[in-house]
Amino acid sequence: MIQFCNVTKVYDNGTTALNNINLKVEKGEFVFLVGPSGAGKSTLLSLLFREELPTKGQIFLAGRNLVRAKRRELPGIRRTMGVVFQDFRLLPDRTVFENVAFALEVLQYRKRDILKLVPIVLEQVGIMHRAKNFPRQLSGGEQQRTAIARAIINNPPLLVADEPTGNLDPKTSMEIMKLLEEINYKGTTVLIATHDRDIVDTMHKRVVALHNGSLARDEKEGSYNS
Amino acid sequence: MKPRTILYFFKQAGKSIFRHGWMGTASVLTTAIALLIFGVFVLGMMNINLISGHVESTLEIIVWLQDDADEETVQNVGTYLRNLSQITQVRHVSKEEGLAMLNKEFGSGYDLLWTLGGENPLPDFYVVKVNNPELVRAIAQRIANLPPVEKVDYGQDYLDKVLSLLYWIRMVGLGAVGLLAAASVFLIGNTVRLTVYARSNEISIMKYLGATNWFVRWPFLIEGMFLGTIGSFIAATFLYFGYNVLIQHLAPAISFVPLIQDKELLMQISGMLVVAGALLGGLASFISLGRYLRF
Repeated sequence: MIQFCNVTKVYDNGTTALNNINLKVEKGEFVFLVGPSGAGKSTLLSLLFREELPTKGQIFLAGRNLVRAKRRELPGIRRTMGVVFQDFRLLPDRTVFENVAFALEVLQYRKRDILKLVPIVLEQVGIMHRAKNFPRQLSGGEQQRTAIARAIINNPPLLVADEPTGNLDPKTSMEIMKLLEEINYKGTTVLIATHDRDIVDTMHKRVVALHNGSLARDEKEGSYNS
Repeated sequence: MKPRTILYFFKQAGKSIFRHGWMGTASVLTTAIALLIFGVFVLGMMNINLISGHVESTLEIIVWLQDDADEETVQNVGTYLRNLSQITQVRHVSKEEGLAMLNKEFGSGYDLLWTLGGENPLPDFYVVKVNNPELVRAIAQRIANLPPVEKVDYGQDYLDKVLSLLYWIRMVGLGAVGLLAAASVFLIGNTVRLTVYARSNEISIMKYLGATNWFVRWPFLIEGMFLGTIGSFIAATFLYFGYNVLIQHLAPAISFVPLIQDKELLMQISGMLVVAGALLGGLASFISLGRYLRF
């Protein structure tokens, strides 16, 4: 699903954010990406989103080379990947329903299909009863559920979450993780960058740890610390 | 592109036009003023070109013969001039006719010949018209080289002055138009940038969701083109009716000067202004968006 081959990223100011990373994530895996701030998690994700290009190395996503991809191929590549952020990034002037529908509008779905698909996914993430509410009327957990619904509505084979529980209390965090795990059970590959020690230790999933830009550890059923 | 997508673009554009009404108004007015001045300048130039063409076509060469040239020499020069293919009209003015003309200018009851002691000091001369104003100088010089010709006069000094005046009017006008066009691109660009900024969050989400750049761009392009079109439409309306009114009042007063009165041409110029406005607006949006669509 994802493959990083000898990826190095050096920024213009000379900082080496990633140093010769080799990483392979298979289809259907559930992976935590951990490490202290500045370890290179954000850089790794932004390379995956193709916001930036690596200084050296190749990155493959669902068989496509991200480094060699042309600009006009990027939208298609991004459609294979749902994204969830720490700050939810919902549109404040739209309801839950409209926020999720927005993802399909952007992909030029038919109105009829949008009306059919949105309730299904809202039901799946457990937020259907909030469909007509605006983001400011929701709790953090509900906002994140909405964001997850938006990320998965067009069935991307990969879901990437950047600190999805960073703004949530432990109980809500755990609920969100359970939701992500359910999505993973249905076949979606899930990659989560996180600081959250408790969650990583409870879930017993594969853990990839970065330290100072290098791959420090890669364990099946790992924990936050080795 | 699917119809519902196009509809979506127009809806988005409409929303943001309403949301930033005052900025929009400011950029519409700037565009209107810039394009109005541009239109006035274009019409002015066309009229000046018409007038100067008219002046050039009436240019004459006056060929003064030697004072002591005899009858036969005068005839020979006349034949020579008539045989030049570029010359369309030759008129001979004899010593006597010249004196009579001069006398007339002094007024009746005044005998110029008597004043001059009974001797006519005027030479014979020819008035020559050339078919191509650009050849006036060359032909005049050729005629000046004939032995019996004392000198030639043609409106070259006058023509040079008019030409250099036209040159400066063009330069100043072009500079002004360039600055104003830049100002309207800047202002429309700023208006659109406000919208873009207000929606930068939405744009980045759209990018993450896999929207194409054109999908993001179209609503903003429509907004910019709409603002530009409204501005230029105002300019074109003022230009069209303003010019018509001006011509109606001015043309009878200066009937000796030819002016452009072709309504269809005027309509075309107005139409071109509107197209220019739409393009300026679109360009402004395109430039303002650049930064947000890079990744």
